[in-house]
Amino acid sequence: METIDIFYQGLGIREIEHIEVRPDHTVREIKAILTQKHGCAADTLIFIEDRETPLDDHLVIKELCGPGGAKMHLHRCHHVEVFVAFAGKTIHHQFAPGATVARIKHWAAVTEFRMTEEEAGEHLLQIAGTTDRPTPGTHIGTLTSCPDCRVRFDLVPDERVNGSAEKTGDIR
Amino acid sequence: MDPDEKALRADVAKPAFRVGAVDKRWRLIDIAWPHVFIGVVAKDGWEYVLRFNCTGFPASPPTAGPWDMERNGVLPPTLWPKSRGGRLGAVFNPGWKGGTALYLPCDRESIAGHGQWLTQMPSKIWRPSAGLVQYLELVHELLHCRDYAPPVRTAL
Repeated sequence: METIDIFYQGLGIREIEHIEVRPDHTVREIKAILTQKHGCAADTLIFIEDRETPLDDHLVIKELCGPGGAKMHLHRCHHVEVFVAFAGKTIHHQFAPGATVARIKHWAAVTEFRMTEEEAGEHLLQIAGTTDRPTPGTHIGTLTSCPDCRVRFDLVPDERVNGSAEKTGDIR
Repeated sequence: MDPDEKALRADVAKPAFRVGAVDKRWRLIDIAWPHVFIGVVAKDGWEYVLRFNCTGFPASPPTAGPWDMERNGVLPPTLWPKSRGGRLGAVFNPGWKGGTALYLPCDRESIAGHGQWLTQMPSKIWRPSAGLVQYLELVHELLHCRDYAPPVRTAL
């Protein structure tokens, strides 16, 4: 039987999860499966990764995804408020909870702080006050706690792995 | 099957690893315990195979280096990814550990003797809960950064 892979993250679901569904499954049916699996609230919304609006319940999954399946996000809020600090300036913007850290970094570094693509590649988003640097594919909604859906980042340089070894045999 | 091999096989079956394969960022090539061969795709489309030694996984970090699957040996230095003088060259150094380990804080061979990395680069220290994806994300990022340059390849 033909199936479609759904990879998803969500509020309280930071690690990527996976289910297989039939191509004719509707968003309503997928929502029911995931709500039961994770004990989500009844008003949970489903987003496609990096899309701004939640999916309508009547949509059929085969019309929403490519050959590799679909990447989705489960969340109760429509938006997450994101703050990014860099060089003494803080910017903010609202993103859908399925927005990836990669997309947010691009917005902050290239669009707002006017870095080139290459310069942006030398920087990472780090959650403010921590050493946590979420991977590029992390959905912003996994980093929040409803109803206070906001995340604060610092845009930091990706440091060179360096330094003398404490024992002999180092390359330096 | 020993617990470390069982844990490794479960790790590469996780969605976080599989989604990287779906996105053509990396792929599992083979498991010949305790070695695991994974291809990681660079920004020019070239695939570099890493041979991981996963003894003690996941409590003990893996160690990995570029591998030549045809010759069944360490990849010749001329075929390693090249640096333009930036941060990739420190990590991909054929002279480090005979080419069997990348100079990364999450690498078992490289973290030894580098206790200062625990405070200097905490985000790059091995996290057993993150699994091989943590190592692969760091390598994939390096192979896509501006410092990456392909090796000079000659037609055979």
